[in-house]
This record gives sequence, C-alpha cells and structure tokens, in this order.
Amino acid sequence: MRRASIAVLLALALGVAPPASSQAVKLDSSLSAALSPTLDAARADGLPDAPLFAKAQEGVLKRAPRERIVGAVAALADRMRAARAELAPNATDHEIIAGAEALAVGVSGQVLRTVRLYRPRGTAAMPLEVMAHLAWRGVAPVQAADAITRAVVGGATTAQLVALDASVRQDVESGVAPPVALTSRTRGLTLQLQAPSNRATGADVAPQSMSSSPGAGRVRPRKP
Amino acid sequence: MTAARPRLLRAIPNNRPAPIEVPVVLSRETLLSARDGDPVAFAQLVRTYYPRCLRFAQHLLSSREDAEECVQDTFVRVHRALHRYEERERFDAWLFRILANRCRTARRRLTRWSLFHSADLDRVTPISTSRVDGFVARDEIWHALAGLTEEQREAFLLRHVEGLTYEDIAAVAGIAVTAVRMRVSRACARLRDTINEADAERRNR
Amino acid sequence: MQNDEIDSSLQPLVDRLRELPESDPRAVKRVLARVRQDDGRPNARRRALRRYFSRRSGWWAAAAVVVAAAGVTLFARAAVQSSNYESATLIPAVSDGAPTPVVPAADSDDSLSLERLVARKFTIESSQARQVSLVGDFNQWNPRQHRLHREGKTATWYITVQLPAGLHKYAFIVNDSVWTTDPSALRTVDRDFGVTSSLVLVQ
Repeated sequence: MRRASIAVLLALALGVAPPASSQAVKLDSSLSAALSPTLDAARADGLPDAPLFAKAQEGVLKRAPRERIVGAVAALADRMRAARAELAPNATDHEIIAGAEALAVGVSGQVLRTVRLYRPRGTAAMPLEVMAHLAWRGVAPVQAADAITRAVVGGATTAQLVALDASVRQDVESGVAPPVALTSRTRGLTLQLQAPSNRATGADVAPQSMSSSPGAGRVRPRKP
Repeated sequence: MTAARPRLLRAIPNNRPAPIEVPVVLSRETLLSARDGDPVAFAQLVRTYYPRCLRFAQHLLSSREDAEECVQDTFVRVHRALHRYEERERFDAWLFRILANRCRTARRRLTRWSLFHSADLDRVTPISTSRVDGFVARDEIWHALAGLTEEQREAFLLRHVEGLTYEDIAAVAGIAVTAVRMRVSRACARLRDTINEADAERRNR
Repeated sequence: MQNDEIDSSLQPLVDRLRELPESDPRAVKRVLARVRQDDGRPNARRRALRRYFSRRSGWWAAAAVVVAAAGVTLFARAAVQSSNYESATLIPAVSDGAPTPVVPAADSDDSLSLERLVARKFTIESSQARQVSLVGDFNQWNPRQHRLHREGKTATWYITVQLPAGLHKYAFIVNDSVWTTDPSALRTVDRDFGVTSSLVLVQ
C-alpha cells in the first residue's frame, strides 16, 4: 500500500522521460564494443580512464564516425602512456593528462622529462598546461616549451608561470604578436627570478630527488 | 575485469568528483587564515559552506530546523578542530565528515522522520501537478529518499549531490571503498525502481 | 551489474537535490554567535594556545588582529582575487635595451600547483537561445549536466562551475542543437574530430 502511494505521488510528479535531444550522451553497443580493447588495455596499464571516456563522448556529441572515435581514443591512450613514461616515476593522473596534451601540441618528450626533474610529484601538470596553452595561442611549440622549461629550471613557481600566461594573453589581446609577447614577458620573468631578494630565499633550483614521497609535493625554499 | 560482453559506458566519469555549482569559492589563503585563527576568514568559510551543509543536512533530516541545528553544531566543531586540518585532504571532504557525524547523531534523536514510515502515508495530500521540465517537488524527494536506508541515502547524497570521491566517502563513513560503491549502486537501483514504478503506474491509468 | 552512475531517469531527481537552499544571512550570524560563545568556554583558552603554537606563525596572530580590525573589505577583496583570472600578478614586459624593472620577490611556496577546484564563470550572449548547455572535458561533454541561467530578460546566459585547476576544452550547445564556441576564449583546432572547441586555463 505504501509503495503504491509513493508510486502514485511520484507518478504525478516525475513525468515523462526527457526528450531525446537532451538525454545524456550515450555510447551505443557497437561503439562500446569497438572501444573495449583500448579501454581495457588502458585500465590494465593503470592509466586514468576518465579522459578516454570523455574523448569518446566528445566524438559522439560531435557526430564523428565510429572509426574516428575509436582512433582518437586509442591515440589519446598512447599519448598518455608516453607522457607517463616521460614523467616517471609516480606521475599523477593530472600530470599524465597534461603531459598527453603537451605531446599533442608538439612538445617533445625530452621537455616532459626536464620538467619532471625540476618539479616534485603532482606539480608538473601546470607548467605543461601553460606550454600547451601558449602553443594554442599561436606560439610555436618549441618556443613555448623552451620558455617554460627555462622558467621552471630557473625556479619559477606555478603562480609565476600562470602570471606569465596571463600577461601574454593581455599582450596578444592588445595586438602584440604571440611570439613577441612571450619573448618580452619571459625576459621580465627571468629578471624577476634573478632579483637579489629572490636569490636569498628563492626556490631550490637543483633537480628534485626522483624518489618523491607519495601525496602532495610542495616546493619548500631552502635557505642558503 | 575484462567482460565477454561490452561494458555499457556512462556519461559521468568514474570516481572523479563531479563538478558542482557553488555561489562562492573559498580561496586557499582564506582557508589557511581561518585555520590560523582569523575570525574574519572563518566567517567567510561559514558563509561559503553553509548552503551546501544545509542542503545535505536537510535531505538527511527532512526538517529545516533540525538541519540548521545540525549545521550550527558542525561549524562549532569545525572551529574547534580547524587547527588540526591538514591540506592532504580536500577541505570539503574533511568538513562533510564532521557534518555527516552530526547528522547521524541528530537522526537518532529525531521523531519527525517517522512520518515517512508510518501508515499515515496514504493520507498525505497529493502533490500539485504543475511542474516545469522535470521539476521534482520537495515531498517527492523525501518520499524517494525514504525508500533508501540511512547508509544508502548518505552515500548517494555525498556522491551525486556533494560530488565527493569514493575515497572521501569511505573516510566519511568509516568503511571500505567497495562498500561505498555498493551502497551508492543500491541507492541508484532503488531510486530507479521507484521512478519506473511511477512511470508504469501513470502509463496504466 | 553494478550501476552507480546517474542516468536520464535519475537526472531530474539529482538536479532537484542539487539545488541549494536560499541563503539566510541571519543563519550565518547565528552560527558565528555560537562559535563566539564556544570560544568563551573553559577549554577555549587551551585550544587557542594550541592553535597559536601549532603553526609557526607568531606573526599570524598579529596579522589576525589587523585583519579583524580592517573588517569586511579585506576578505571581500580576497574572495574576488582568489577567483579572478584577470587579477593575477602580471609579469613585467621587457623589450631589448629597456632598463631593469625592480620587482618584489616571488612567493616560493608552490602549493598553487596542488590539485584544487576553482570557480569559473562562463557567459555567452544569444538572443536566439531558449536554453544553453555548457559541455566540456570536465563534464564528459554531457549537455544535461550544466545548463546555463539567463540573466533576467537579457540575451546573456551564464553559469559558474567548479573546475579542477588546469587546461579545459569546452563549448556551448544552444537549443540542444547548435555547437557554439566561446567568442571570448581561445579556440582549438580539433585534430580528432574536426569540430573546434574553446580552451581555458583555470588556476
């Protein structure tokens, strides 16, 4: 009797299923089947699968043909594998995803390895994302990678890299060519890093130990 | 893990906190200030999290007065314990652990929830049918949630409304991650059943 | 089969559950009053001392006094700065031959890089829209998850979403049928599917 009452009340209220156009993006069984090997392999390798699902959903939403979706998901899985290898050991999921994005825009594996050397676990993602962001803004990937890598090696904090990105954006919006904007702002950052007050308490510029502890990686300044 | 038949893939990622809307976000600096005893920062912390905490408590306790009492209690405890908060954990997971505990305690004292378990349910007045686009009225929510056990309700709300990860919820409830998944699954199954029943009921009329 | 995700049958219920209660400023005042009461209790002094010594911060206590004295304006500004992309400290631009600018030392605490969520507001102008969705890699490109709100009777639609810090691709879907990029954002060339998305770096 109670169930019937609930049923009646909900029947009055919940109404019809939403119209097809606004339904959650679903994958049909043939696409799921086609993606299974890639997803299973990725999971077995310990890669995060959320970005792979997202890539598939993106393809469905963009009405891409099945083969293209399968190809795109597989390519992403490969990039994530490569990124994880370069960002070893113990790359976080976010770092793997950021690394894959950097590789996708044309940043080299060597650059990922360098960033890893200077950034403890969990902190390599943002420098790589800034690189990719600059590349999308119209800077050549090599120049973006070079600028950010030098900044990282020079001890730039994530906040400074983010500020660099914001400054370049401002310049580009004012009409400055992206490569020029990056060059001048990078010089500004280099000067900032080299400023005497910075040298006294500045971030450690020696490569971080490869065996970083699990959990958050915080860069602590070392007094000279 | 590798099934013979293809797995149905879902639109929402597994175990990543679902993005939610909040009116204001608490900056890390303000949080740390509050932790270090700054009363102005603490006021900002309360202002930021109060609506979410009230939302959660209301769904669990069904009465606004009891929910507000519970949330107040929680913030007093947060204020006492904040200096022990370590940034290893997401702040809202830490906060909801305290809140969930307070709600559990409050529920034990509660008498008003029994409304939804009594035979008087038949005499509850029918809900108004004026709705727009899938809008669900308050009493219907309570009826839907009433079909769940307390543990299922808590796990479901933490996962799909508050957006906590399974690990967070496991820490909140003091159980294993697999147990949390099971509770959430069962909650979803029960809610789906209830909704399907309602649809079927309507179609048969 | 384990099925712990939200599908279209549960979505209306979850949407409703996610609605936040109306904010009541008096309720917050009541909380703060109770907290102050609690601070007056016998254990409070011990707790306050523990707080003082458990962080390395002699100067935090002094700063807290100053901040408390300064009142509302300080934390209001902090709230704006923390979520405002535009107000990030800018790096000076230096062209060839220019004099060296004097800049303050950087904050060497790099915890900005730790995983955290940031509120980000998305807006779009559309006079043709009856509904607008935000889709992106943060919501699995699901048009049902984030529906924008309309600003009164204007053509402005908006939504604020909490996103993990980092790079995100997204777009708007207008009237469930039109894929629209954000005119105010960077555009990406989509090598995978050939449909351009917008890009944002959230921090």
